[in-house]
Amino acid sequence: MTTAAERKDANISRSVFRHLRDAFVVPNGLEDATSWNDAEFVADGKDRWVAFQFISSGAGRKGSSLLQADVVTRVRGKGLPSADRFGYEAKELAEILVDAMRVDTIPLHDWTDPASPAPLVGRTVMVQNSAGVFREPEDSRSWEVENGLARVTLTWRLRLPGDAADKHSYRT
Amino acid sequence: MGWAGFTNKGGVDIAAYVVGSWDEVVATAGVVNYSLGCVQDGVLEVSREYYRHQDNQFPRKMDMVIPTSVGMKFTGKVEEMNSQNVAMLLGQSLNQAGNNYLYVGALQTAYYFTLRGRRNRPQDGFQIEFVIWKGMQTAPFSFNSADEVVGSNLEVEALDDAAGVYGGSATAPLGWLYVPAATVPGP
Repeated sequence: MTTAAERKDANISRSVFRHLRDAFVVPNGLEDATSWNDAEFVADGKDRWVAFQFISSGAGRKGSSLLQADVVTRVRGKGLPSADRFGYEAKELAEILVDAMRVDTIPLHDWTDPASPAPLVGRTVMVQNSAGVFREPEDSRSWEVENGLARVTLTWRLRLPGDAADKHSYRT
Repeated sequence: MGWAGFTNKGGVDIAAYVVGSWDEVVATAGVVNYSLGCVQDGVLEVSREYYRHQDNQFPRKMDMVIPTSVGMKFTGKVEEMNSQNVAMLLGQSLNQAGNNYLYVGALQTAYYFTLRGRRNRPQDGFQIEFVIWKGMQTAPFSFNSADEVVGSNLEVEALDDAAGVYGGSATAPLGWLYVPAATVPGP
């Protein structure tokens, strides 16, 4: 028995990145400083960037997936306001990202053909933290400025409605 | 050899899973809609009672169940304490614009309103709804103390509106539920 498309981790994670591509819009452009996948990201020479990574992948497997975003800005970076000595630009950027993820559900796509992902009609992944709250992050932390870099780390918990159902409820 | 009709083990219509709460509840009096704000732990209940009859053989077995009554009610906890909501919780008129004094114990007529609730089905965003045409708030009012947001209990019981004064009809005298059709997923 094959795994249903909406339960596949590759489909869930790519659908979340697809949502972010559309929803996470930085007013004056994030240039190429965003990593949209789990691949290693080289930040040399950038003034701000966001690195995304799924640190667990239980969604679709009766668990939940944790998406982590590291939001980093270079204090007094060239492209940033010169007054940003305390890394508030990172918090501003994190806020835009939190807004982008402030949805009840994210529609899922089937990436069997990566060039042309097909919508999985009526299939979504929920943004719901472990307290049961929809739309909000699981965790949000600001770090001290270190080596001239300000950092905010955010995590979201994602799971399918089927993951919230009885443990025997999956058919495929 | 068992029954051949067993073909789907586990969930069948996975779009039908519902998570979350009744996150939008509105009372309507006349033509005015009053949004109640968040109603914590909202529960819609349809109750039915039966007369159960047993045969006269030994051992006696139930041979007939006859429905005798049906009721519909919505319960929860209203957490926005303004004069509109408190008046409603006291069983008074919702139209309290500008009123800060709500009088308790005065002779008052029964106050009826229409109650609607809506919730989201996460898989496909379908909005499930209910309506109670002619409802009356029957829960006692209690305004407690706590560290979290406090509220008072709401219990709206549906009354017969077959005459259609509040929007009901002979076929839907208490109210209705709006729930999507089954969608069986692909292979």
